[in-house]
Amino acid sequence: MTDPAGNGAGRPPRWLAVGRSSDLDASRAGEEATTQALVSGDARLLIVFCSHSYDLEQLLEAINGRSGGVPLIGCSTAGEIATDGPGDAGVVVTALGGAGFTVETTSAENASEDLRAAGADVARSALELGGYPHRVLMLLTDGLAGDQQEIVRGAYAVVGASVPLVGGCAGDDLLMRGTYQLHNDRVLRNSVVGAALGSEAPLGIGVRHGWRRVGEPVLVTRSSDNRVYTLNDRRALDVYLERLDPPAEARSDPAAFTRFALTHPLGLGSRSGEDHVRFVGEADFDDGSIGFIAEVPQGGLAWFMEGDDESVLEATGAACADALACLDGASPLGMIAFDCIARRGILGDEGIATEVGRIAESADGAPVAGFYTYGEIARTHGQSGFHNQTLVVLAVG
Amino acid sequence: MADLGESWTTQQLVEFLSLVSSFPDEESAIAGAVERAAEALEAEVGAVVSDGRLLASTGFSAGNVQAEMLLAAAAGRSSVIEVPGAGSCAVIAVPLEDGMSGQLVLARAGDAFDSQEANLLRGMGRVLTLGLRALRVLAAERTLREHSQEQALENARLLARLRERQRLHERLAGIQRAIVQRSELQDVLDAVVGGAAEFLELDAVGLRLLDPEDDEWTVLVASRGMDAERFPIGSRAHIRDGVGGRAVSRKGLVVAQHGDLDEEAVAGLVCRSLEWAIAAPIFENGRVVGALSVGSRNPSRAYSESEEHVLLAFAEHASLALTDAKNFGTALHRALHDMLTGLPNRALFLDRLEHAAGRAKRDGAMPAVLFLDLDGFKRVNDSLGHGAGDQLLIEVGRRLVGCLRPGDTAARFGGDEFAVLLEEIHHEGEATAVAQRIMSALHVPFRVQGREIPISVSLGSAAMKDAGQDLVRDADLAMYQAKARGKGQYEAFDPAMHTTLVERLRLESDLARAVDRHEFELAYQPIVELASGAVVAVEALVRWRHPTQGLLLPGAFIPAAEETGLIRAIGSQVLQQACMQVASWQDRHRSPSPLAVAVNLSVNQLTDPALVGEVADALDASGLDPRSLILEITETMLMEDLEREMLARLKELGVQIAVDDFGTGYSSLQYLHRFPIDILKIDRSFVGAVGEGNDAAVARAIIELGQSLDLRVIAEGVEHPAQVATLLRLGCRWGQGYHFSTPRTAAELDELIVGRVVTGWDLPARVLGRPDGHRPMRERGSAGAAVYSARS
Repeated sequence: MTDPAGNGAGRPPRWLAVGRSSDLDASRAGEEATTQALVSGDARLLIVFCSHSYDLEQLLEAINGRSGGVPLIGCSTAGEIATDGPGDAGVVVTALGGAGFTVETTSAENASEDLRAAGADVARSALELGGYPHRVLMLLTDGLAGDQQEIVRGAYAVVGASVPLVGGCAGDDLLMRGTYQLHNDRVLRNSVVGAALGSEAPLGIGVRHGWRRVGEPVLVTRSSDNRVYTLNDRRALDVYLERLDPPAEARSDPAAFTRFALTHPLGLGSRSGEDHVRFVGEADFDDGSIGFIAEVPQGGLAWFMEGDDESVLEATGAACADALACLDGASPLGMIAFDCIARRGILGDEGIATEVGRIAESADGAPVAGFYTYGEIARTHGQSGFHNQTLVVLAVG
Repeated sequence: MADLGESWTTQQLVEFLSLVSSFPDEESAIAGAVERAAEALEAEVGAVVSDGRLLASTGFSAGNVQAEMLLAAAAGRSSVIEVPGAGSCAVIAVPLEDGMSGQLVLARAGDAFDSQEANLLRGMGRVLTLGLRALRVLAAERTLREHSQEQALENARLLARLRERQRLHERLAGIQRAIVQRSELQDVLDAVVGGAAEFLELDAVGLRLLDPEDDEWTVLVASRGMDAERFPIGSRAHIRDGVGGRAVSRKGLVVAQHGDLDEEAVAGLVCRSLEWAIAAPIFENGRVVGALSVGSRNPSRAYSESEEHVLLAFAEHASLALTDAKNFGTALHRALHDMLTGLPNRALFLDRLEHAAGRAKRDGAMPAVLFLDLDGFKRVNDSLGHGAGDQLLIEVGRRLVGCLRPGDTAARFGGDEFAVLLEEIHHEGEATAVAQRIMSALHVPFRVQGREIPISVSLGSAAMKDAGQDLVRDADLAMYQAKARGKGQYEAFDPAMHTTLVERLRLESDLARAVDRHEFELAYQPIVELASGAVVAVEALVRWRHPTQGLLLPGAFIPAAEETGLIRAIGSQVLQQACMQVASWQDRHRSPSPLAVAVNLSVNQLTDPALVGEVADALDASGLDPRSLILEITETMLMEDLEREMLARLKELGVQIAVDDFGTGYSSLQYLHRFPIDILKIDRSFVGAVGEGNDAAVARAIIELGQSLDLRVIAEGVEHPAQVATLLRLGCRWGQGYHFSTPRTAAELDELIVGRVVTGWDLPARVLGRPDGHRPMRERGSAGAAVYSARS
C-alpha cells in the first residue's frame, strides 16, 4: 500500500501515501498502517480513518510512536477505504509530506453546545497557512452532535470563499451510539477536528450523489426543523408511501421503513447543480410525519428520489472527474473519498468494491483513502456545504 | 416552473422575516440576515452597508474583508467584484428602505442574478428594514427605561409602552405564524385588520383589494369599525375615492387631514365622518393590489408619524399573506397536476376518489372510474418525436375534459394513460355512455405538426359495487381486457376478469420458461405459382408445444409475447429454425431457383437494433443464401424513418422484404416508394371478394400497383379454383391458401418440397407469403387471435 511521490516540475517536493491494516490488535494495526504510509521523509500530516472498535488510545500511541508525532487528524468510521478496496474494522492511514505542503491542525470540543463556534474555531487554523496558492480545510465532525450546516456556517464566517471546505462526519458502524474524532494524541467525542492544508499544486473537490428524481415534485406544506408533517397538505408519510410503494412491512414496521428509506431520500431543489439530498431517518406511524437527518424547510419543493447501483456508480465516476478537472491536467498524488454510508447500503459489498475500484482507476495509479460517513462536507461554491447521501472526493494534485 | 419558483421565494421571505425577528439586537439581526440571504441565493458574498459604512459581511476571510470593494458595489459603481477563492462574482444591490440609506448586497460566482432573484432580494430588503425598525424601537425604549430607573412614574409609563410594543410584536408574530401555517387567507386578513384597529386604537380600519375584473375599482375585503350598512364587506369604491384608492394609485403611503388641498381626499373623510386617515399600499409579488387604511373620528386624537410605522408593518404582513396564498395556490396546483396537460395527476385523482368513496359510503351514491390508454401512442412518439407526442396528449386531455359532466375529474396518470372519475352515477349505463362519448370524441383524427393522426383508445370502466373495492385497479383490468380484444375497444369491469388476469400471468411465466427451453416449433405453408401449382416458397408459422396443454396456436400466446417483449426471443428462434430447415431442403433439392422462406417480423423486432445481427447470424449458421429469406412486415410498420433505416440495413444483407395484408392499413404509393419493398401480399379479404364474383376492384388495383412498381404480388387466402383463374387473369402470378395446402410440419412437407416442380420463380428468390388465414404475427396480439385459432 505504498506509492512513490509524484511531483510537478519545478515545484517543491510533495508526496502522499496510504497504509492499511486490518490487524485486530490496535497497536499492531497502528504500527503496520503507519509504516506503510511513511514512504518518505518530511511527513507533514497524517489522516487516520479507523474502526471505533479499536482501543483508540492504543492506536494513536502506536501511530504517533511510529511517526514521531507528525500532526494528525482522524475519526472513527462506518467502513474504511484504501486503494485496494473498502474494508471494515481496520485502520487506514494517509500521509502527506514534502516541502510543497504546509499543514495546521486544530480541534474544537463540546461542539454541540455551539456548533457554529466550533466550526469557526477550527477554521481559524486556515488563516495561518500563509502564502500557499492552493488551500483546503478538511473537517471531521461528530455527525450525531446536531445540525452540521451550522459548523459549515461557522467555518465559512471565518474563511469565507477563500478556502474550500471538505470532509465528513465520523461514524460508528451504524450503531449510532457515539463517534470519535482524533487530534494528534487525543481521542475526542462531540468535537470537530480540522486540518488546513496549503499546497504548491492544485487541490480539486468533486461532489455527486447519483440519486434521481421519481415522479412529480411535492410541496413541503408543513415542517419544523428536521421533521416534515405534511406534503401537498397531506400527511407526509401517506404521500411518501403512496408515491414510492415500499414493501408491505415498511408500512408498519419502523425498522423496515428505515431500511427502505435508506435508498429513497428526499431531494430539495437547488438553484443550480444537483439537488440537496436529505436522508429519511424514521417515520411516526401515528401522526404521519417523517424525520430527516437535516433540516427540510417548509414551503420548498421537494422530490422523492431513488438510486440503484448504476446511478450511484455513475456519480462516483463523475465526482472523481470533477475533482480531477481542477488539477489543471496534472495527475493526482492521491484521492481522499468521503462516501455516505447510505450509498454503501445501495451498492452492497460487491458494489462498493467496484466503486472504490473506479476511484482507484480515476486516480491512475495514485493511492486512495477514505471512509464511509454519516454526512459529507464540501463547499466549493455558494455558502451551503453540508450534504447527505453524497460522495465527496478530494484530489490532491 | 416560474410560479413554483415564486412560491419558493415567498416562503423564504416569510422564514426570513421570522429569522430577523428572532434576533435580540440590530447587529446580530443584520449579520444573520446577510448570511441567510446569501445562502438563499447561493451567493458567495453578502453584505449590508449604510451611510458609507459596512455593517456586516460574509464571504471574505476574517481580517481580509474588502470593505471598499463592497461599498463600491453597493453604490452601483461596480457590477462585478473579484472575491478571493471564488473569482469574478456578479453583484446585486437592493436598497434598504425607510430611514436607512443602506443597501443589501450579494455577489455570486457564475450566473448573474435573474429578475426573480432580484425580486426576492428586494423583498428581503423590505423585511429586514421592517425587522430592524422594530428592534430599534425596542432598543430605544430599553435605553429610556434604564435611564429613568429612578423616576417611578415615568418608569411605569415607559414600561406600559414597552409592553405595548411587545404586544405589537406578538400580534405580528401571530400573523406570521398564521401565514406560515397557511391559515385561510380571509382569517389572516381579518387578523391584520383587527390587529391594526386594536393596536392603534382607531375607529375605522379597512382593507381593500383591487377588483380583479376592473382595476379602477377596489373591493372591501375586511374591516373594523366602519359603518357596515354604508360600507359592507364586498362593497366597491373607485380608486379616486378615499385614501385607500390613493395609496393604490400612488403605490405609497397617503395621509389625509382636514385642511389638505386634496379636495377629493377631504371629501372622503367627510363621507366617512373621519378627522384624518392614512393608508398604506399592499403588494402581491411586487404588484400593488390594494391598501390598508385607518382613520380616526375623534377630534382630540391627533395623527402622529408613529402610526405610519405600525400601519406599514401591518400592510407588509397583508402583502406577505396575499403573495404567499397566491403562490402557494399555484404551486399546490402544480404539485397536484400534470405539467403537460394541466389535468389532475394520479395523486390528486386518488385523493378525489377517496373522498368520493367516502361520500358513497354515507350517501349511497356510486362513483365510477374509467381508465384509458391510447393505442399505438409509442409509435407516434418514436416516429414523429416527443414534441408531437406531447401535443397529441394535450389535445387528448382537452377532448377528454369536453366529454365530462361538471364535478367529474379527468386525470393523466403518466405516459398515455388517462383516468376519469365519475363522482356519482346511478347505474352502470351512465359510465358506458361517458365511455362512448370519449371514444367518439377521440376517434376524430388529431392534427399535429400538420399531419392527421388517427388515434384509437382502449377503455375500461369500473363502478363501485362494494366498499373497499379498488376502482382504479378494476378499471385498469377492464381496460386491459378491452385491449386484448383489439384496438378501440371498451370493457366494463367484471369480477371474472381477476381470474383471467391470474391465467394471463401464468401464461406469461410459462412463456418465459418456453423461451428458455426452446418449446417452439414451426409449421410451413406453401406458396405456389398459380399457373402451375408448383411450390416456390414456404411461410414459417410458429407453434408452442406446451408441456401440459399440448400444441398451442399463435393466437393463444403471441399477444402475451408481444406485451412482455418475449416476442423478440421467440422471433429470433423462429428465424434460426426456419433458415436451418429451408437450407436443409435446398441442400436436398438443388435448383436454379431455390425454395425461399418467409418469416414474419413483429414491430418489437423491427425496432430492436439487434435484429440485423440476428438475421445475419441465422443466415450464417444455416448457410442459407440471403436471397432465399423473405422478411414479412405489415403496413402499419411502414411509418417512419426508424423503420426505413432498419429495412435498408436488412436489405443490405441481401434479404427480400414483403408487405403483408396489403390494403388493410394506410399504405400509400408514397410509402411504398420510400421503403425498400420487394413483395406485396394481397389481404385475404380482397381475395375472398375475387372468388365470389363480387367486386374484385381492390385486388385488381393492388395487382396493378405491384406491376407498376415492379413488385411481386402474392394473393393470400386462395380457397377456390375460381379465384385462381380470376387472379391469373388479373395478372397475379402467385398465391397461397387452403386451396393449395394448409400449414404443415416440416416432415409432412418433405416429400412435396424435395420433389417439387421447378418453377419460373426467378432468382433472386422472391416469394413467400404468409399462410392463408393467418394474420401477421405482430397483429396476433389483438384481433388476430380468433382468426388464428379458427383457421390454423
